[in-house]
Amino acid sequence: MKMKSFSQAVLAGLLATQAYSQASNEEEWTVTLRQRNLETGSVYYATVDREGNAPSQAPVPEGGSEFTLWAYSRTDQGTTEFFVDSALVGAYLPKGRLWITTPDPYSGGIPRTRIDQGFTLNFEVADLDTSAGAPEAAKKLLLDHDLAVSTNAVPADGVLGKTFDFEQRYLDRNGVGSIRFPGSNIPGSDPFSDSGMEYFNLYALPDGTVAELQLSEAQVQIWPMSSAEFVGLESSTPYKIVPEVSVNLTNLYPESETWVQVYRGPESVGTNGTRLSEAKAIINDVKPDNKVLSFKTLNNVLDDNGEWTLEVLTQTPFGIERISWTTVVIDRDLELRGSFQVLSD
Amino acid sequence: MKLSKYHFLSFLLPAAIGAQTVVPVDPNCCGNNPDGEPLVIRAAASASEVNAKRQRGQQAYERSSVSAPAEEVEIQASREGFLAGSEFLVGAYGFAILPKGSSVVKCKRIKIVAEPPVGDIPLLSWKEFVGRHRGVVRSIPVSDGVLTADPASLKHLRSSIKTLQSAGMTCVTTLNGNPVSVPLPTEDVAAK
Repeated sequence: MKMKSFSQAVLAGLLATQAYSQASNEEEWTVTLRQRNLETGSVYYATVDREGNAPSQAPVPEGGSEFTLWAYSRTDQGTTEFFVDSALVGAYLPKGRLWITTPDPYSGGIPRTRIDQGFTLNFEVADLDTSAGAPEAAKKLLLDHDLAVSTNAVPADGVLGKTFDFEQRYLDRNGVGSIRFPGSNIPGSDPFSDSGMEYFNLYALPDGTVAELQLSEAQVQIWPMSSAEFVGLESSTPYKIVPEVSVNLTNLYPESETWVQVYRGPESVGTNGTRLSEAKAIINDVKPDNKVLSFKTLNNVLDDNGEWTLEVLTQTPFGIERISWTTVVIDRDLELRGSFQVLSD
Repeated sequence: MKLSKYHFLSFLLPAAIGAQTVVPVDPNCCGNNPDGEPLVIRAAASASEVNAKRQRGQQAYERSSVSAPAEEVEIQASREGFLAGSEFLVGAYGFAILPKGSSVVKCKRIKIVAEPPVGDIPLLSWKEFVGRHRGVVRSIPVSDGVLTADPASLKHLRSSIKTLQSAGMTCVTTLNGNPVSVPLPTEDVAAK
């Protein structure tokens, strides 16, 4: 069972980097290479530098060795470990690698995307033995796809629920391939709050003496869509003076910018209007965030009678999208006509 | 230099090009972008559109033509955590992290525990630990044959362990100076 806080998962990749840098700066971190002999189960530890390479000091048998790199820190409160990377090396082991690409160029750790955007799972397989007499374990690899859903209404502070199975497939050809998912597979009915993680693991099949061997893993963070709500305006009411307006923004995508634009006339997607400079929301976090924008001087911008449209636009790695809109009617002549009426009486 | 009779047109060309690039500025147009280039704005997907996409994950697998197992494969593999796969030697001057099973002879002056100790106990590398606890801890260098479970090498190791059991020291198997667990049955690991 995989159970960890969502933000912990988000930062897993960053922490390894942090561990490396702190190891060099404060010497509070230690990096150890763990080598497990897959034939006999013996385990070898060697403390290593944060960068570099060297021949394996323990023998690698024909059945292979699993190398895992760990960083750990020591404080009075205890010892904390961070998994950094792993690799399998063996004369007769098939090789496999998974990686995920998304439209978001984020490179700070686990790849991320939005629930409506989808992602691509890429794989590379080598050294499969497809000859007729080859054992099953040498002919194909097992791709296992699991999901975990954020159980909290606020995804940034959410906790991931229990990981559950989504799909399994065999990869039985050497070479490079990919599977394009048009959207996330996180279950639910509200894409404005649903979030979670998708996990992919690639295994060499058991051969009778050893269990499945994990060859590679890939994960992707799935964040919800953003939403916006205008507060303080009623579309059915003509205004002489536009009141103070606020916009509640929910789940703004990491490293996004959100603003409000106005233009004359009815709503029309794609219209380039005037950007309101009074307030904007910039998210510089690795998680979604909520913001409130307030506009006190809108009356000066909507300077002519007629229908106006206000739109909330958000710019993310997926482009510029309109996430909400409303219209407002300005009629400043009402007051003047009333005055003439009084004078004529 | 011979000039074309149409050379005077070359003076008009920059003006013509310039005229094409001039865009009338509407105060209510293009205010989103300081460069004046119109932004490409599209409507965000609706909830129903996104939910429909979410139903198509299985189809992605079908399109990729990767085959499905006849029945679900039970995965036995799980990565053991570094600390969970370790044992901790605690002495008077600190503690060290070793592969579980690498301490093949034990003594009362060095505690061997399954969890990392808490409190003000310094963490030492294996080499520091041996250096500071000289007299109560020693290494037993092993050969590659031990790690590959070569019977002759294991027999030799067993006899070394028997000899060291009376020495009153904790003994750790090592390869090239680093601790290593060896494929010995648990009954070969002795407590003094």
